[in-house]
Amino acid sequence: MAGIPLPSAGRLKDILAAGQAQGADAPVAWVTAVFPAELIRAMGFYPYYPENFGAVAAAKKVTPALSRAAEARGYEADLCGYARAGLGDCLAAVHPVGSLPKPTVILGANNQCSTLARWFEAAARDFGVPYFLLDFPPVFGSLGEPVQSYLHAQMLELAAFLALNGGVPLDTDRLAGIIDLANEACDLWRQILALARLRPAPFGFIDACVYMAPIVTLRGTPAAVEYYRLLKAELLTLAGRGYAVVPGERYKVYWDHIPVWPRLRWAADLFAAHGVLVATSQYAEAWYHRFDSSRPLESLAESYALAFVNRDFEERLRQKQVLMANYGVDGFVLLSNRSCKATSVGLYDKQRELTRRTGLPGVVLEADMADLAFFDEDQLTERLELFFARLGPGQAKDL
Amino acid sequence: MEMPVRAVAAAREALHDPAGVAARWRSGHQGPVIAHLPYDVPVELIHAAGALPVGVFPSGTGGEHAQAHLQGWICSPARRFLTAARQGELEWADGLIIPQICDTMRGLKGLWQFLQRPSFLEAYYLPRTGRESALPYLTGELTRLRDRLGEFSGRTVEAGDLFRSITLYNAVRTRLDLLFQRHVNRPAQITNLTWYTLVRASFILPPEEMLPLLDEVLAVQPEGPAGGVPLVVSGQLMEPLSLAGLLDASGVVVVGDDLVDGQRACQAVPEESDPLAALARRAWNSLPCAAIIGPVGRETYLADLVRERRAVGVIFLHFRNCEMENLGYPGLRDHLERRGIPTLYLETQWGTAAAGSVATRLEAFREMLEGF
Ligand code: SF4
Ligand code: SF4
Repeated sequence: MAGIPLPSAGRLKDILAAGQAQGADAPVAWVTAVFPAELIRAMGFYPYYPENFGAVAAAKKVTPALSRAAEARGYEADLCGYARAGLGDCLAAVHPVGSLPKPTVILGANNQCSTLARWFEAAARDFGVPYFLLDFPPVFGSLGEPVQSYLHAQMLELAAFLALNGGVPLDTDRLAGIIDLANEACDLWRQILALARLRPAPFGFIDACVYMAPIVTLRGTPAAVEYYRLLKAELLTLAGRGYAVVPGERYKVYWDHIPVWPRLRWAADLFAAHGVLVATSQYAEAWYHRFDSSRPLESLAESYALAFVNRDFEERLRQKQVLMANYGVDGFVLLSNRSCKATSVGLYDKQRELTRRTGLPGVVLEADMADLAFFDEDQLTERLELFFARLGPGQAKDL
Repeated sequence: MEMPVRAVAAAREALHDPAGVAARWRSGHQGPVIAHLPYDVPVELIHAAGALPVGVFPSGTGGEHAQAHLQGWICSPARRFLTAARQGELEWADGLIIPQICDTMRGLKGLWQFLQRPSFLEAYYLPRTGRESALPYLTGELTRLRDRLGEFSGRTVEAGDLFRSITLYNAVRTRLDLLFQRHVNRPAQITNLTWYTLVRASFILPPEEMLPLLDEVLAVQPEGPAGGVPLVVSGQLMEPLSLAGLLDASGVVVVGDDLVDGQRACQAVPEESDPLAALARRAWNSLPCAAIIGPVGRETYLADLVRERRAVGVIFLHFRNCEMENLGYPGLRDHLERRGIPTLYLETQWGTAAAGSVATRLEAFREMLEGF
């Protein structure tokens, strides 16, 4: 995995660093990744993402070390690796990825998983800071009553909570401005992801994992917009020159959910060696939102309630199928991520059903996104090579 | 000492043969039998729709049939419930309600629908917070469930029906609570095992049958000494039920708990003019658990319970692979231990509790408490 040859890689880093530094002296709100951070920003808080910390710890292969500190306190080794890293870091004597910043408030949501809600609740207790849970009932079919009114009422409660705990009063014009910036960054993000449909493509899901941080942590800032504008322009230039991120690309596949962070390079190399581009994933697409700034609070609540993890079995399957069709994939890989019960229950049947519906080969990989204790390289390589062999003759056609 | 032998035998039989209970009920009723996974489900609504609510407590471990569908690191209750469905152990049920208490249950609902294609499968979502906004939502969710049940059973649920069902279940719940007091004061007469067996039976037997059984037990002259080591138990379920027998054998008397098949089942519904609002209020005010941040934190609730009931310690009874319980455990334990309340952590799987090692650990805990 050599990385995409972007001429302004250094400038991208600078934009990111400047964006992250901005507001860092504001009160810190720990927040879950799929949370209306736009409101938090509008009320003067600096959103900090412990899941991002978990991903960085995983990529640096220090999750097991941090986890040991959590396990010594009585947390199970089977918990989500992000939670173990986050809880462990607060207890550990050494901090291999830097310490988590002390929060002023902790804001949890359960639209992704209940794990986050419980982890953040435990952290709030340990730090002795106020905790607010934004409670998202699961959405079966479409969003309706009484869920919508409940969500709206909670957004008002959240605004009141933030105002009470060090935030500035809610200014809806300011919020609308932040939402417009978030929409713009989301559009750019989706356009960048769509470049993986080109044959050959200059960009794929594994690259999306590398360039994902701003859409997760800087949504609603000018820095995210600037970053993705530049990234998109450079990728388009590369595409114009026929650059292929997977040299000799023959296949495109869909990857479900999070990658195995500490072995991202291994995955990139293995897929590339077989001419396979991981073109798309529900995980990368999940950061796309379209908010309506004329009804900001309602729109934020509704959009975050419709996060794919908060949807039912059938809708999740449908979304996977749509992505597979849109990207013209030849097969799919589902990660049975030991860390994540929220995405893993029912995965075996999803594989069978997706193959039945699409006729495409699929494979389930047993691993953990963060912890190499659950990573059997030989077995995974063998499973993937068998899967690659089933991808058929390969395609060179344009979409 | 006179023991409520017949009533307890009937309760035990119901636990072993829910199909028999359902068949007997069907012979005298038109409505459907609605199973529910054993968490806080508003059974009064099911009953008011002319249906029989039955809690699912499959016996034994038997998670192997879930292997093709659920990873080995998914909790044993989910694996056991799905196995029960795949093996046809739940054929007695016409429909099912799955409370959405955790990620696993959320996933299980969709998987169940996909695999089993039941004619009636509903989720029930309890709001997770104790804030004001939760109450109207909860009333709306109960209204939705009432209407779905009514549609399925072909009967419009009127306020009067619901009021009658609430009154009936309240009678059961009040008697269970009285019996619990009897158990605390006369643990040799109403043992842990007897008490938990009766509570579980109340999830399976129709309330009309449960009521006389409980009256029969309550009619027995209270006798026998007080005593034993008074402890509080915290977790989800007294599962496996045989654990209650192990507690008896170790001289432990459970004087308080927050279990679904324990004191949560004793909580009566307030008798308000709007029965649906009353059901919502009961759910909203229910004992704190792993799934919900209620108005009172679980740590405060447990510490107060220990003090009120003069317990000398707390046993945590947690299922392995249960993130909901495990993420709260160290905080709860530390909170209690800082207040001088010793705790014991027992990890279980559905249907099995490694009796030998549990007995040894209980014994060691008891000895430690005696030296306290
Ligand atoms: S990986 Fe899964 S369980 Fe862990 S925080 Fe993310 S959504 Fe939650
Ligand atoms: S044991 Fe835990 S994870 Fe399993 S169903 Fe119960 S609450 Fe959910």
